[in-house]
Amino acid sequence: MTRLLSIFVMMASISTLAVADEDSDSSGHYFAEFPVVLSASRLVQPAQEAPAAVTVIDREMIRNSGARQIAELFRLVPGFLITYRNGHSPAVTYHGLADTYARRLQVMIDGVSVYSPLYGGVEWYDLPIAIEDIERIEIVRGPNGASFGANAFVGMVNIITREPAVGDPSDIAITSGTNGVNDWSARYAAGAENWSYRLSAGQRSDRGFDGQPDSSRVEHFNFRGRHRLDAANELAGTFLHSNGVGTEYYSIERPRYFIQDAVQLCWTKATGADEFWLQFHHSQRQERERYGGIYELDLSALGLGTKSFPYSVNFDNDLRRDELAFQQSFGGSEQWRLVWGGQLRQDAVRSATVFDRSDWLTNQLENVFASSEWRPWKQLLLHAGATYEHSSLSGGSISPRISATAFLAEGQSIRIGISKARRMPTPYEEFADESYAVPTSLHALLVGIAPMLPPSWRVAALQPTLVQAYLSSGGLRDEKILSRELAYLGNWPSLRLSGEVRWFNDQVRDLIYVHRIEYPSLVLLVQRANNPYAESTTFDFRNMDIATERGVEGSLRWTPWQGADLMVAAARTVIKSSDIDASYSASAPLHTASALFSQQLPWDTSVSLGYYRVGEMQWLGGGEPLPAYERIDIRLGKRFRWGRQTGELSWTTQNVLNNNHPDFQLEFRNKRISWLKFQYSF
Amino acid sequence: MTFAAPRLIVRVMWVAWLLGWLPAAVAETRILVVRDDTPVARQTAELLGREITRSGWTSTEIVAVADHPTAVTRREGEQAVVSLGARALTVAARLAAGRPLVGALVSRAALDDAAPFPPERSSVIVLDQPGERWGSLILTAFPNRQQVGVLVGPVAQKSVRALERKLQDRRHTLASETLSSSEDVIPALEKLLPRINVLLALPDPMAHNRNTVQPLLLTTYRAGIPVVGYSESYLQAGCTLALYSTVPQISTQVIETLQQLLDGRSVANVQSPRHYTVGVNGAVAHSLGLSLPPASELQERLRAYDQ
Repeated sequence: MTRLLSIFVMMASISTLAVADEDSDSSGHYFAEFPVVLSASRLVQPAQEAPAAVTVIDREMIRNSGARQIAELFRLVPGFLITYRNGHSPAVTYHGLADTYARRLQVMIDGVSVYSPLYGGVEWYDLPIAIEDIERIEIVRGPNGASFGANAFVGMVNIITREPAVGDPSDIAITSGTNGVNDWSARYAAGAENWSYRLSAGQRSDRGFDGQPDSSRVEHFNFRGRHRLDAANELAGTFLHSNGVGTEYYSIERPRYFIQDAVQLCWTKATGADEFWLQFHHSQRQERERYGGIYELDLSALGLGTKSFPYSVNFDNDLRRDELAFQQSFGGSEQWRLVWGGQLRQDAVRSATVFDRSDWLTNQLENVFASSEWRPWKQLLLHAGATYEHSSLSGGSISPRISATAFLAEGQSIRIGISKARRMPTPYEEFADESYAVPTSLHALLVGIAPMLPPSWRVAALQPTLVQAYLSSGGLRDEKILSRELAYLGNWPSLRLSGEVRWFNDQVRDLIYVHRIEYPSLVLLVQRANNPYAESTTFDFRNMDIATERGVEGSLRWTPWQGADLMVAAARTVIKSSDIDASYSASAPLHTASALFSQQLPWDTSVSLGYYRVGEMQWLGGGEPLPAYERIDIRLGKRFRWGRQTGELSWTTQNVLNNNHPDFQLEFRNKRISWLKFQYSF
Repeated sequence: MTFAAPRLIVRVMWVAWLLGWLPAAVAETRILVVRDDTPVARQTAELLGREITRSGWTSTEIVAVADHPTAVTRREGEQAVVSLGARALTVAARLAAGRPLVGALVSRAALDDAAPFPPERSSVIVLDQPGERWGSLILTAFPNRQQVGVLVGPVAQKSVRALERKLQDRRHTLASETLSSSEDVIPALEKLLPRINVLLALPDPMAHNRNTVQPLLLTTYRAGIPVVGYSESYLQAGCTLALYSTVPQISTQVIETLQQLLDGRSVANVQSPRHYTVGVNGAVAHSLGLSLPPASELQERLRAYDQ
């Protein structure tokens, strides 16, 4: 971190915030050429006109929620679910069907996917940005393969970071609290007529769940810069870095170290409402998880008693992604708009333990998409779009979407839509061959006594596999979803109230999940010697299950009086599934609800109250049946001003009720946590 | 003698030819165009040259070199002088020597700074749209957005009063933040935003320049506040609405004013733009959820206010 800090301080110190000299020729100023600032990619489509359900979490909501971690913010979104497989590995999904590597949600930072090329899903805690770096988060609820391709299966999240040119030039935030909460972050921005940049660095750490050895620490750094070539053309560069360690506990403490870097270069040409951009992205991540100990094997069936063997495991995973993408938007007219684009991507992963091979496994992906909107009459808006995608893992596919929005009256609309999307199998699902070898000394012993072993033991005892955890047979097909929705959106400005309600019916098939298979590993043999009905511990991945999700969800935002802000979200989800390989039917609660109320008070003070309710459910992948729980968070803030400098001191308590509600497994208990945060902008 | 008759004939023909052309030569109106060395002045001069030709006049163009405006020598042959730009106005005022002078491409602030003030028989068309017109535009485009904000630097100071009067007549309010430097823009804007629902970008280089345009437009956009700008370029950059005069519109007014002065009619010493354009950035308005009347309709309504 010292290195990070020194880079940050050095870059901050060599530059000062350049401010334009006043234009001495005020006549020429009338004809000065300004750059296109609000280009197509910076403009947000009004919720009433979006072809899918969209929730936006803005800076004010992030502040009011008191959230320390990005993943926590999704509690405010209808139908979204969050859990933790340990204190530092949150999983976020929409409408269930997920384990703690929730793989059916596409997540992007500034338009670039952070979806893991190895296991799928997102390592939320490791993201190389601070929560203070975020300008807003746009969440598309429902399949969005038509615009974002594979893996935008149940939804899409785009985290948009703050523009270098916006906000205070410098700020620091320091957070300290119970449970080892110890975070800091700092930002510095500078700019002149044709360039601007922002540096951000920080750290977050805590001790995870109470009573669990799952502490973590992440250090992060990012740089975002823009250089304007002329009024229409701009080059942007981004560098992101994070590293850290988090401990997991599976009968033994397993610290996992990671380091990841990403670089993006983007050229944008914007002329009025038309825009073209071309972007290159490279990212890489190294994970190092090494642990070992003494393994005890009950060989009494062979008359050898219990033997102890030392063992060591290396989970050394290397991940890489290279991507070239372009997009062109045509502003068109009041009647129509069009956007199209394409992408070439190569994901590569290497892991001797996971794949039992030392070379890189690659997945080549090419896609092209087009999306258009047409307004034949003022009261009707039609959207149509599709993505064609080809993956070297699962072949070609098309993800289309059509929707129609009827404007009933000013601020009142009904949307009906149908869409299809796909999820590609991950390299892990397609190629997993995760096994642990029999210790050499034991293997020599078994070979020596092989002639004396019963026939049923001979084959297994002589092969070097102690445990075969995963063995993919491969040939997986894409998961497919057909989603239908009917939504009503209302906006009543005079009441300062807006809201939406959405009915959905999603049919999902070819769900990929672990499927238990017979494999004659030594451990299975030993277990069966003691218990003939012991289940195999080896898993394949198969397209086995289907599921139907039906339900209704909605949200409201209301400003009942000056300085107040109320957000309410609720969802009812019913899942019916074949449930062959997993309990999909139980993977989403029947009801979820959340509310966030904030009130500005005199003397620059504010109070926020968050209420969250999640019904009974069970996460896949080892999750235990969890009871319904309620949680209340509270945040108190006091702002200060010293001339142009501002600051805020805030106190946040999560789970005020201290009700120990469990997450994922019953032993992962959430206790009350409090922290003090000081933010200073100058 | 043999050759005297032909020589006489030739002389008579010469005299006849000269006499035949003399009335035309006497009636020809020659215009001296003095312009700044800027792309806009060059573009305007080209357009103006064509307009002058179309009016049956001729023109001579001189460039007022930025560093040596006094290097331009005295000119006697032209009947009127046109200046394009602030420096050109200073040069032209000296060269005019009582001849009609029409100045253009000058802001009101630059004109106030010009010394000496343009002489008699002159008229300067300033770039500044009158405060009343800004007020009318806001009232027409945003009848339900009654809290108008402005960032006021030294240049915009004078337009604010007229604007405030116009808005107050229609129950709109004007909130302003005064700037002492460009560094103040974003802090001032953040103070202003909670009190307003439309921001008017009055032309003031301290408030609106290439450095401030990006944070200003992004900050207002994120707050859901439409910005009304003063140039086509600002409109393209991300204003919701803009009011400005184009080069052809300015040229038209120059020709009209020249004609009036040459005809001996009296013309105001300082004129506001008579011809102007209202532009709407449909993409930004749409994204902000605003349904504005078409630009042509806004322009028509504004003309009705003018009259």
